[in-house]
Amino acid sequence: MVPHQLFDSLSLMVVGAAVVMLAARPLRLPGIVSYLVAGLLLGPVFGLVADAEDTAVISEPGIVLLLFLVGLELDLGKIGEVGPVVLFAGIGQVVLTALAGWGLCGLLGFPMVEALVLGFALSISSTVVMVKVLGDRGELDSLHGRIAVGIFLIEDLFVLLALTVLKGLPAGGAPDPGAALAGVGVALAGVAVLMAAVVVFSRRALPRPFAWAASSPPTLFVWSLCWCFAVVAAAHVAGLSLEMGAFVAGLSLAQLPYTRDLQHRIKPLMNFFVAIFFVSLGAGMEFGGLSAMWWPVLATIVFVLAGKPLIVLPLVARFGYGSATSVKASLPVCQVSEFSFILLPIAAGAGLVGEHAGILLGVAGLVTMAASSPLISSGGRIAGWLARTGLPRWLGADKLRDPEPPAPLSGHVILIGMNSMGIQLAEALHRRGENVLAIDTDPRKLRGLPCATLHANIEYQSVLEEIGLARAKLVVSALRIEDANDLIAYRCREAGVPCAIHAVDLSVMENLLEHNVAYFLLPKVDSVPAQAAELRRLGLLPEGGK
Amino acid sequence: MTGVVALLFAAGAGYGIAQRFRIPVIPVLLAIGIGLSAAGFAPGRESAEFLVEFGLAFLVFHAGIELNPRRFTGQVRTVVWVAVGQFALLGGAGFLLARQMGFGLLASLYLGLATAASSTLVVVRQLKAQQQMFQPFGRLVTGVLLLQDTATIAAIVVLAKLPAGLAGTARGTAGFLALAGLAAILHLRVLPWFGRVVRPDEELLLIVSLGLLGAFALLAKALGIPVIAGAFLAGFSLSVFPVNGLVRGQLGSLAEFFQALFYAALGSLVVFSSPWIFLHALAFAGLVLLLTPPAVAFLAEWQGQTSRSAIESGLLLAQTSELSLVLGLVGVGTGVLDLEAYSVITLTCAITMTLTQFVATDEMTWKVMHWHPGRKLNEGFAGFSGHAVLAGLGSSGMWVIKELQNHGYRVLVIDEDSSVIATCERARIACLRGDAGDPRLLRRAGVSEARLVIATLPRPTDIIKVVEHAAPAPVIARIFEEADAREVRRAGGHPVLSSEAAMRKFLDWFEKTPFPSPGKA
Repeated sequence: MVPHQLFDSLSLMVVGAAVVMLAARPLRLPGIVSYLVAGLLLGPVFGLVADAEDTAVISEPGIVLLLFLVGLELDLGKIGEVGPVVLFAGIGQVVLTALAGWGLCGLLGFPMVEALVLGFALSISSTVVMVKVLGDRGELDSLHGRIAVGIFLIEDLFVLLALTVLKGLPAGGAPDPGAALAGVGVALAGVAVLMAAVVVFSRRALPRPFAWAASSPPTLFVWSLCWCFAVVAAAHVAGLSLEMGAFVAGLSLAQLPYTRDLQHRIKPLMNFFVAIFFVSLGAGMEFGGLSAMWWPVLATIVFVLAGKPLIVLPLVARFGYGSATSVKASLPVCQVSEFSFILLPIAAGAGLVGEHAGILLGVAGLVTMAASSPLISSGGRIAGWLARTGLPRWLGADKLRDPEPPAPLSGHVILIGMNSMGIQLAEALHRRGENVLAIDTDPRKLRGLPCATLHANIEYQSVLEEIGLARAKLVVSALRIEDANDLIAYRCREAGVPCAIHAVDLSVMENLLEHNVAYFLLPKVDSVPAQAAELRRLGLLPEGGK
Repeated sequence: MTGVVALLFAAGAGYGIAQRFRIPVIPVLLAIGIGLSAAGFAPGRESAEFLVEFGLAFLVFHAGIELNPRRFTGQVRTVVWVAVGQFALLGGAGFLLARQMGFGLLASLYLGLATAASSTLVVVRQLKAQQQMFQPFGRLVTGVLLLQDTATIAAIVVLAKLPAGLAGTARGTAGFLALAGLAAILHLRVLPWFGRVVRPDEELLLIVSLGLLGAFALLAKALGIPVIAGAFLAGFSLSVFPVNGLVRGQLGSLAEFFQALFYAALGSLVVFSSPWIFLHALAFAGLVLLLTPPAVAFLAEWQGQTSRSAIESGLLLAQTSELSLVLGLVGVGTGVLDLEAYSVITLTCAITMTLTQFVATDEMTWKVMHWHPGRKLNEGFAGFSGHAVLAGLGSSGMWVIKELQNHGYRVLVIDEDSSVIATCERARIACLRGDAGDPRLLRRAGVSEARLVIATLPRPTDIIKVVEHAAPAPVIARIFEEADAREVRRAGGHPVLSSEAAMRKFLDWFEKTPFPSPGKA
């Protein structure tokens, strides 16, 4: 049998994460903070997870899936709209923050080269934290979300270049500028070729097989994962980061019509691996020598939390976006990236940094990751406070009118399950002028319906938020699945929305009555008059009866 | 990670093949795993065994969530008889067959137990796909699976501790019972409260569910019992409503992901060192396929199920369980089984799971019904003609009977529900207890001599049988789906679309009902 250490470590990690999340619930802390705290408790504090490296490998798919999900959720057209600000702010952010970080670390006593490496490491922000927090708030596709994602993609390119240069350095020896430049050129060309190849392939080869697979949700799900890892493998062969490959894979599928359901299916898988990632990160932290470095660590934390967003703010604001958009697009950079933990050992191997750099970056990274989550979540409040100071406007904001977010669905009728009854209900209600949203897990059943449709599984809570359950006028389930109907009735009761449920049998009504169902669709009973009418039409019963 | 990614690609191919040829995906994944191993692309043995163990723990956990005991209240006696009877009979026969093949005593015990239980994953999937989960035989089968899974898990606990002697076995059993008690408390008290009062969001729900799995796995290890037992009990604790419904969506995609990797990894562990492995597997598969249907059908019918329900249950349960694979792994781990015996268990599983889709069908049910020695028929029946036949009465049929009787029709009811028959007998209405889709029963009811037939059966295929056998008598058929209504019409029947009737009644209610403004209900 297999040694159980890895299984035990994973079990401990999920148990720890669950306990901390439950305990921290009254504080409304983001999940990432709970995971990091759980990792700290399991690792440095109680020593229950001795070696987090194995679990860190397990959690790699989480980062891949996270970037895959980001790509799936993005609209190429909308990305293009924010191209100029992303390029300017992204490049400007890395350069200016690296320089500022270099200066700060120099002031804190680090040697020049070490300070430069540290400055660059501090300039890179965590895509994982940003995507997780904005994604949980449903803001990834907002204007500020797209700008933030774009900035992070530019940062990823810089990381790629830095890794290329660092890996080419001989251990402790002098760098070869020619080789470094050649490496950078190859890396950039690789990105371009990968993106072009993937986009062409996805437009020509993917639509038909994925349309065929869409009739079976598990097949579509597994195939999309295969596509993701295939592109990741291609990126790896081309010397690019796994994350870049995953993002490109997601982007290539984003234009297909079945991606909404895919997003909901991938999210739980991603949440699991990301949780393991952050718990592993916390568990692997070492705090030896911290007491001697508390002042540099504190200064670095303040620089990252406050200084980095203030560097980005003018870069975004000068494009004239609203104050709120400018601030909310700048805030997500306020943490150190997990990439920095990869960069530093390589730099150490090349003799560029010492032990103190590791302590500084490790502790600052952990604290800023934890603190940035609630900061990003409070973006609206911070934007309001800064707007009152006039700073964003002084920097150039508020010259353009930000696009209004689309009005959320309200007063609509949600119709679940497009069997014969569901389809007839959708058509009849639509004819009566109702705003109908028809939902089914089989995209073929939604074709040809006159109303709005959604290919999704209502078992996911995120789907319920997307369809605006709490603001609906009525929910109707035509499904013949007892479990699903019980759950729909329960959720409607919790949301305070009336519902009409298809009771396939009188025996199921008892459960449903507990959930205050407003109306029962009873085809068997309701068709009795129709049966009598048919008997009269065939002359088997005299006319004039009931 | 490369090996795991290779497994994922292979699994993707497997899903495509299964969908293209409409066969169950599990045996395709097993076959692909075997192919990967033969081609040298499989992950290393350690990685494969980790995936198998982790994947199985998760899949058993996920299966446990679906096994809510409340689903089969009202059929407890039948469930117990069928579950215990099938388990004992198949287990005993499997043991004897293994001894005949030359396996040792303990190894034969493992092989017998591996043959005894049916697959929760395959059966539940089949029931859901055919929307039969909540039909009477669906509830019976779900209850049987719950009991068999529990028995198999208990057997795994005992067998894993056997090498430690009697004291060790007793300690293991006590540990299992303690963990089962904890699961029961969580199921009955803690988790319903958690779902209603805490109202977790998706992420918290996912992490708490997985935390429960992790906690039970660690407790199982601390108590010295197999992790799989802890995983099963963790899943069972979550099977209470509304938690199971809330959790299902979150865990569903993880289950799909791990299933894809698990079965492919499992296949990669199979060895074909001799042709006897395949022949032995065929023999065990034959035993399961030939013995399970009659055994289950006999027991179920003896306990009051209709012949058709009983036979359907038997055919649906004719495969070995995924827990057999765990039994095999435990056997290998304790040194009782070698890899060849484990391969026999895996192949038997693959063969019987593959054949379930072809065996558990309407056509097969009717073929077996032809061989059925007899059926309960109402002895008081005399041949009618010019009468009205009601094929299926259900809850709304009494109104139709009154209307027909008021207009001078002599009414004959065919229904499989004994309480419906009792009601008809009290009301002095002629009736036949049985399956109205059975042509022999229809002939006995004289449908072709009837003045009219009203068919309100749940399955459209049965309704079409009634239409075909009742000709030239007109058949008014209550049908839900439009596509089925077209088939009935084509066969010569007169469909009444119940979905349209329900829609019209709903619209009446909708137009008269004042709805509160959104957010103010």
